Amino acid sequence: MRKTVYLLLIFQLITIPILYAQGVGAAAEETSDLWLFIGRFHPLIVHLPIGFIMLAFLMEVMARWPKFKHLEQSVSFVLTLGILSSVGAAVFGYLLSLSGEYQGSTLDWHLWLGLSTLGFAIIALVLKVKQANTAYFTFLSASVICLTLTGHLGGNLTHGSDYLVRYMPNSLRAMTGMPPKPESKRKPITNLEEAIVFDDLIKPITDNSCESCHNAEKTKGNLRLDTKEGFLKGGENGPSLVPGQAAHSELIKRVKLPKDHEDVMPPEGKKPLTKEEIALLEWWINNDASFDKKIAEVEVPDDIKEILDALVNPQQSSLSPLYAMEIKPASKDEVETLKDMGFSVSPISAESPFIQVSYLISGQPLNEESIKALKKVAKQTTWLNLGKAALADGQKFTFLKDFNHLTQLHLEKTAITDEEVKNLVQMEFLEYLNLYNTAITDKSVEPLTALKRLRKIYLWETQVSEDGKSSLQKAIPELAIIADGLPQNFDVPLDSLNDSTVIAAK
Amino acid sequence: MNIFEEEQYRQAELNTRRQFLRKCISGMGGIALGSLMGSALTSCGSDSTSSGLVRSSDNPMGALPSHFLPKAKRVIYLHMAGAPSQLELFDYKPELQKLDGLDCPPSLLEGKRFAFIKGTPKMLGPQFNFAQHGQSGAWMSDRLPHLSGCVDDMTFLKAMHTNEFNHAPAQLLLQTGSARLGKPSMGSWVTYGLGSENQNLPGFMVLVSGGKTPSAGKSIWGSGFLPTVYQGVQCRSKGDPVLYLSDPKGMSKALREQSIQAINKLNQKQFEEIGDPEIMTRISQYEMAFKMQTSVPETMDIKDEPEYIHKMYGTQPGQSSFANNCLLARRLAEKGVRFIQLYHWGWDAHGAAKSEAINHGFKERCHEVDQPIAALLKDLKQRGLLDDTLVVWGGEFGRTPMRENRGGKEMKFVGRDHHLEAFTTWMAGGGIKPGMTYGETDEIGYYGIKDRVHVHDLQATILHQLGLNHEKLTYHFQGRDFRLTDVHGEVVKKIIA
Repeated sequence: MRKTVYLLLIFQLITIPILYAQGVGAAAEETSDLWLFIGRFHPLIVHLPIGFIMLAFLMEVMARWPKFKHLEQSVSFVLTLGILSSVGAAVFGYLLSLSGEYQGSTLDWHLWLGLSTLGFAIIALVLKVKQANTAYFTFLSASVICLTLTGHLGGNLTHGSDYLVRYMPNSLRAMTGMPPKPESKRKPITNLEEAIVFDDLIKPITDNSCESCHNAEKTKGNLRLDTKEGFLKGGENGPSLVPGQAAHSELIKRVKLPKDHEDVMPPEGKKPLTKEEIALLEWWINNDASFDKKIAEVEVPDDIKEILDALVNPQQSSLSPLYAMEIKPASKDEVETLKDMGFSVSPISAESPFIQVSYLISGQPLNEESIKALKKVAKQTTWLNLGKAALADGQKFTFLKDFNHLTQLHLEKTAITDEEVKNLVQMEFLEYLNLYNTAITDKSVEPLTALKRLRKIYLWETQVSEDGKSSLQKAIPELAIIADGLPQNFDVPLDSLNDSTVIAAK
Repeated sequence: MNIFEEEQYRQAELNTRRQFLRKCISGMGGIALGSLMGSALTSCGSDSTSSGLVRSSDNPMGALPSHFLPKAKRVIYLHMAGAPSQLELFDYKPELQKLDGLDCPPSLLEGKRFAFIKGTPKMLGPQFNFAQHGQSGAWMSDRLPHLSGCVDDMTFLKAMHTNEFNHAPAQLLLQTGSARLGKPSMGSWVTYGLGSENQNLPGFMVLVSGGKTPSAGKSIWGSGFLPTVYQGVQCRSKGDPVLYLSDPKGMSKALREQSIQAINKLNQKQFEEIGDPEIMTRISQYEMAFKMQTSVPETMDIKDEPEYIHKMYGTQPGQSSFANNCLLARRLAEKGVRFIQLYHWGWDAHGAAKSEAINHGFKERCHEVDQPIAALLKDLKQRGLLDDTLVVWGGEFGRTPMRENRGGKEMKFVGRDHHLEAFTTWMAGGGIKPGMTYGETDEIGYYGIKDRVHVHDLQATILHQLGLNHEKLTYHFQGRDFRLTDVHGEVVKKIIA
């Protein structure tokens, strides 16, 4: 017991100067700052009692095995440390609660459960000394249970009450009888005009980035951003926003501070708001920070319009559906063989199994062997450049019929014929087709009309007639047909250059 | 001793007992050194760098996949060395016209550093007429009558800015990401990251016109700390396209081929022994040089182009001109060259001499580039190349809205001083939204006031179009990862189609 007294003495020695400092009459504000300063060590030192009391419990359990019998002798020591550090944690915690940043029933429960932990631990220690073993173990267990609950509530206070289970898989939720995961917070906006600015655009941002520290339980800076009133009421630094004046609103000022600034919100270590989110907040405040106006009722400048459009259609990408398809990548051997034949081969991106193949070595006609090697990767090839490629005697472009995953195909300046163009009809993903300077005629138009995804076709220096082009255009309205030769009379008359006046020649 | 005997001798030398022992010792030393140097030497052996790229050392120019799906496969960068005046070409400022001839207010001069302006300069209004063109209504001066027909394919970055107000550092910053020497150029980074589609031509080619190499010298197409195989290869449009490319007198092509093979064999042995990636570079450059003996003259000979093409570009075969280089750029793009860099010198219109006055030399420069650039854009578009070729035009900085007064005196000719706060760069093709103007300068074109784009942002955007994440394209050197944009750069998402 003597040891305990010594340790208590040490604790007093630490705390007395602090209490004294207060007594000496530092300004009141200074003092409350000091308490808060000490209080903020609470999250640090709470881990000591957690560790000690848990360890005492663990040692007690383990000591029931003969192998760990010796642990029994140390339990009192560990438990004493647990009690002492619990006292510290409780004092620091009380000081932290004075700041008013934490409120509500969670805080009360946290306080009383924490004190219970301490109380049960003291009773347990006394019983241990008196060798009342059964009662002792009961109280130790009670202390551990209280400790666990206190810790959990403490975590809820710091991180928000849904922190622990926010990402719990639905299968686990079902087992524990919890409701399934709430749908993603930003529920998709279907009708932009009818969407409500605050509920559909602003609230999701603040729920994501502000609410966890500014709510009923944890009210940092005495500011609540979980209710409409909270926004208007503001916190200890005055109102959070000035309706109509984003530039004068504390909320906007804080989120726009540089990342390493002391006062930036969300604070260092938390995810900062994106440029788009800040733009939306500013826009909302500039439009009188209304809580019930619909988007249709406020003015939407161009930059906000863009952000909104992106929100409504996040997947507004023009990417071909092909790229999402899963296929077996080409084997290393197949690729190496192709490269040896003079092809350039590489994946279209590091994430994709699809490859781009080009044949740029002039003067080397494609022979039976190289075509055979090329056909091996027909399913993987999506960009194929055979522009200017010659075919060896007896070879035909009929091999293209296997390449039904192409999105881009270069066949300009080749000897492709109308007959061979028919092999392109299966290329349902084809978007780009270059056929300039070939001998194809109107007979090719009919098979080409099957390519519904085609967006660009190069047909100049071919025999395709105006009628052919217009029927192709009719079949695929979105298609851009590049069919005219380069302007032959490109020259701008020279005198227009000389004539131009120099306004201020001095 | 002829070269074959030498090879036999060297080969025998490599297999003696003494050699064996030496290898053992130097090998150990090499291993120790390699680990000490923190992979400065070994990082290109056959590695997967932190950029996620897997480069095999025996094929440094092999095509590699980009980080994500690319919009552009290649870049043609038209660098107007000397920095053309945005106020005479694209950035129309009628307000500045009203201030013409008035003293510059001190508020614009306080705390500023200029290359030449001294005391109080006079404001200088736009020197040429402007008009809006195309459906996009982009402003362009009457100096670029051909190019004004292409505005709907172009996207203007009106509020570019940089950190450097002298040519050499500004060119280095633009092309290598750092104002100091020693960093790899954009083309080097791109070919390092993506390789090249055509193994018979260098992946990064440089064409210079205007009678002068840019102020920063050849280091703006250097490879810095990247293996030297990634440096730009300069081609000339007059005489031998690449210096020393043709066979020396008395040496037949067959002999040349044999000797190159022999040298490469020796180098290969040396590489296996030491592992220095520079040896691999040397080997691939010998091979490339040999292949280039046929591929380059064939590509660089523009005589086989039809007459209407020559008329359109304004080219004259055999001449050294920007027009010829533009046509060559299109030919190189067709051949799958990854990065084609053009420099045209002579835009430094201070007004100190007739050749560098806005109303003389500058006008001539405009005339020299207007038609060829317009022809290049139309030609690329026509051939279906503009879809995946990114064309970038710009200088290393801008010009002041004040008239230069070198030494504090009024100069004989009209000119403007260097200005780093605002200039115009434009892009076309390669997945950039066409017909758009991004960014805005104030009423006199002095500062960017909206959507400013720093040169690092431009670099990040160019890499992005090629499917490269500028934060991931790194190279480990001297103990840390380096990248083109250093620790800066933000992709200009709004101009991407």
